[in-house]
Amino acid sequence: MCRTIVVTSGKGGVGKTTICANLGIILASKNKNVLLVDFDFGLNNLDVVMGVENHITYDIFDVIDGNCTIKQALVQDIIYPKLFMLPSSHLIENNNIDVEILKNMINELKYMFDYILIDCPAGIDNNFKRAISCADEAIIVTTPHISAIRDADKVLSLLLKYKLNNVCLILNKVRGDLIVKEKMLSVKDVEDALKLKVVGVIPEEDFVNFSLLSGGGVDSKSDCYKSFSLISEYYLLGKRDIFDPTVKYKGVLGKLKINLRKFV
Amino acid sequence: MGKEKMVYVERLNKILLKDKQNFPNKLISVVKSDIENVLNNYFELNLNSSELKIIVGEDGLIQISYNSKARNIIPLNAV
Ligand SMILES: Nc1ncnc2c1ncn2[C@@H]1O[C@H](COP(=O)(O)OP(=O)(O)OP(=O)(O)O)[C@@H](O)[C@H]1O
Ligand SMILES: [Mg+2]
Repeated sequence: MCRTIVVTSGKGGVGKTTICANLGIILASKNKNVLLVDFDFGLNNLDVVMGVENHITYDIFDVIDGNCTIKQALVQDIIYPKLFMLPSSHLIENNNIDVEILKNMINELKYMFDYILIDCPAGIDNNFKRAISCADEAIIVTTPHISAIRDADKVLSLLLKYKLNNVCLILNKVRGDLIVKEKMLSVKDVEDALKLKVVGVIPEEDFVNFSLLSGGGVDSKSDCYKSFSLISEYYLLGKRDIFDPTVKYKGVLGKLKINLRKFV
Repeated sequence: MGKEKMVYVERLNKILLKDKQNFPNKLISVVKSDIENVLNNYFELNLNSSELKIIVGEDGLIQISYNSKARNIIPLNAV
């Protein structure tokens, strides 16, 4: 049965699109049929992050307007044949799309996929509500900063209304060196504050940006990759094994790394 | 936990709590009217005496209390 998971946050720029793309890539590389849906109407970037922006013929609005069928709008990934994307459009500024139309569209696609990941826009306006309405589960993304956690808490309370099956937290842009030095909230601090189960911790890595723009996801030797791989195991097998960003900053060698990081 | 971090965590928890304490005013009137609609099936309520309190405690738990007087109990088999 298909699992439809919305990736949301409230606050912008915390990593929703990055997580959608990379989780999708890893699930597809493990032989699952995956669809990424861009619900960030007008400010969409999933196409760029996936490196497929030049392969788009139709978008979600063409489907709504009847210019194409929903299958014609799907874009297959260049590297992973089991990964597809339903793109949004940059041309849309204001839209009054009926949520029922979107829900029907997603429902129509469920039989083709094992996972549908919905990239939700920042904020809590109508497009947020539309994205949530189409999902059965949610991932709330936050960084370990007060403003992002506060917005995550607000989103969490809004989600109660939608009676989703499974709401989990992913902590992104975590710096193990700062946690060790107590200059950043730890995973437990955030978990305690939000009273929500963390299913993934992703370290902040300098080259996430570049590696993504070339398509194919983060470098498979990076800590980010390890972290996404562990998150995918939660969604595949229910195994909750969380990446520990502090490990490499502990002990004598760790102290050296902390000092070196200051100069990077 | 170091002092600097403790202050940060305290600040975070205070902000989250305050956000919960500032629930919308509308909530009280909507919940009150829903409760009264239900109770009206069983009691002849004296609505001037009714009061709904919603208090978010320091621990984040919400205490809800409703108080009202009624003049009569409406028999269960009455239509
Ligand atoms: N773990 C990470 N390490 C380093 N950079 C990251 C990490 N995660 C995300 N980024 C970078 O942060 C920026 C914002 O990420 P992203 O676009 O995924 O956020 P978003 O939540 O989708 O933003 P928006 O709310 O605008 O849609 C991007 O430049 C991305 O490359
Ligand atoms: Mg985004």
